[in-house]
Amino acid sequence: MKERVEKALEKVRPMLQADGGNVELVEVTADGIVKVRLKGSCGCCPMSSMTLKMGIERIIKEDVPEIKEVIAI
Amino acid sequence: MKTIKEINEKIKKGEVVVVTAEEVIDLVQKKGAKKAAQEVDVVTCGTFGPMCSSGAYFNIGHSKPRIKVGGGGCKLNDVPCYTGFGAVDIYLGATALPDDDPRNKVYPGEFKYGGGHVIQELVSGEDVRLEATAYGTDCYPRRKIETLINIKDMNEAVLFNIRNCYQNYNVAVNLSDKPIYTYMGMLKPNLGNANYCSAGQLSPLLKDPYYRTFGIGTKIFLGGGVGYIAWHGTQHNPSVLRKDNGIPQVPAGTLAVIGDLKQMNKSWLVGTSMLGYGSTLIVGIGLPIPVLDEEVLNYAAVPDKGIYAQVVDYSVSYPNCLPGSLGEVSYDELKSGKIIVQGKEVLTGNLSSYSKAREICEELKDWIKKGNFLLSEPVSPLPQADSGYGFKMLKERPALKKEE
Repeated sequence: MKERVEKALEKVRPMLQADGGNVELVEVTADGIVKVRLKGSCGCCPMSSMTLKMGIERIIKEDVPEIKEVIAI
Repeated sequence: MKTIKEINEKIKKGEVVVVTAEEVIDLVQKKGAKKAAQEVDVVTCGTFGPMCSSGAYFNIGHSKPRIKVGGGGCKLNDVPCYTGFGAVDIYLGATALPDDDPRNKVYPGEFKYGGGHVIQELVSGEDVRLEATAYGTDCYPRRKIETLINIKDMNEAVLFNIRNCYQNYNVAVNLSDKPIYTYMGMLKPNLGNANYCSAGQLSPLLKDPYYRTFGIGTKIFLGGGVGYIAWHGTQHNPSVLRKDNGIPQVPAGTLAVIGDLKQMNKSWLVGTSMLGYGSTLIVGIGLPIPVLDEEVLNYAAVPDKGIYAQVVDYSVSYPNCLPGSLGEVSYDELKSGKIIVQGKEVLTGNLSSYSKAREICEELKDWIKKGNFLLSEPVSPLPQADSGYGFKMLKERPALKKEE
């Protein structure tokens, strides 16, 4: 499952990198929680909660339906 | 000197020279404004950020039997609309929330779904649930309706944003010792971060700071489609302090914009939740600046390092309308990722996407070069910097009811 999540993240990365940010996959738990670390300008971006839920989480859930939630650590 | 009419002739012949607000900076530095003004016909500007005073009006069509929603109640996907119009005209604001949204009772408040999200779903072509109640009249007897509705079923669906495209804005910081949640995002205590909201050197009103080339009726890129400047926006405040290059040092001009929502697209109208603040709509706007002469180009070529914003405390100063700035920083400094405030290095973040603003500049440039977008002459100018027009605070007075 971790590989599929990483593959989904590859789709999001170019959008984040365009604004100087990035995302690192930290962990995918057995109960479907994805833990990520927002990096670069995403780390201090006021819109990061939106990016996380409406961008990263939406795309991961589309590609890996077993995922329940994406959280930033 | 060039006229908009002459530029349009070049667009029709496929001979127009268009550059983005980013490209023009290098061009003027290389060739000088005089030579560049002879070569370039149009500069495209863009911005993509949260703009709360946005919304859309709809005519939903008449049901059988008829219902007079006007004066009654109406919700789209549980989000209340304004109904104080004729029978089936409604207005949905970007910040409207469902009645059962907990707001910030559960701290700090998530505001997961509101008017901005409904607008994005409608523009995406998704069905939304319409619920309306009415008091019933002889000519409009129905009292209740519940139905799915799609934007293509509506007679009119018009985005009408009464304040967009702010000309410059504050840089928000927090001097208090606890986190605060604002329309400028979450601000960490003790100058933990600084948030700003502008595309800077790409932002439309910063590139023609005296509103010389646009006004009421100017055709623009709005939400991925074509729109128009309808009026100056609310809180338009042109008579503020400006730098020698004409750029306001504080929030100044604004635009009211209008356009057919049916031809816009979801990439450029994004419903958004601001943690601890509310729901809103991120709007993409692009403005073509006709290069009428060297002066127009000189203004359009001002880079981030020539555009300044004020650092404002949002823990005490802003909420209490206390004047004062903690300092002035350029967009060049803001975009570097850190600024110095009161001797402390503070990380910066932008609510507005520079990369999306750049995409808007490119998209509008493409439309113009392909001959799909002619420039329009403004019908009337916006209130200018020397007009005396300005922003007023509310003066509260005793509101005693008249004795009967």
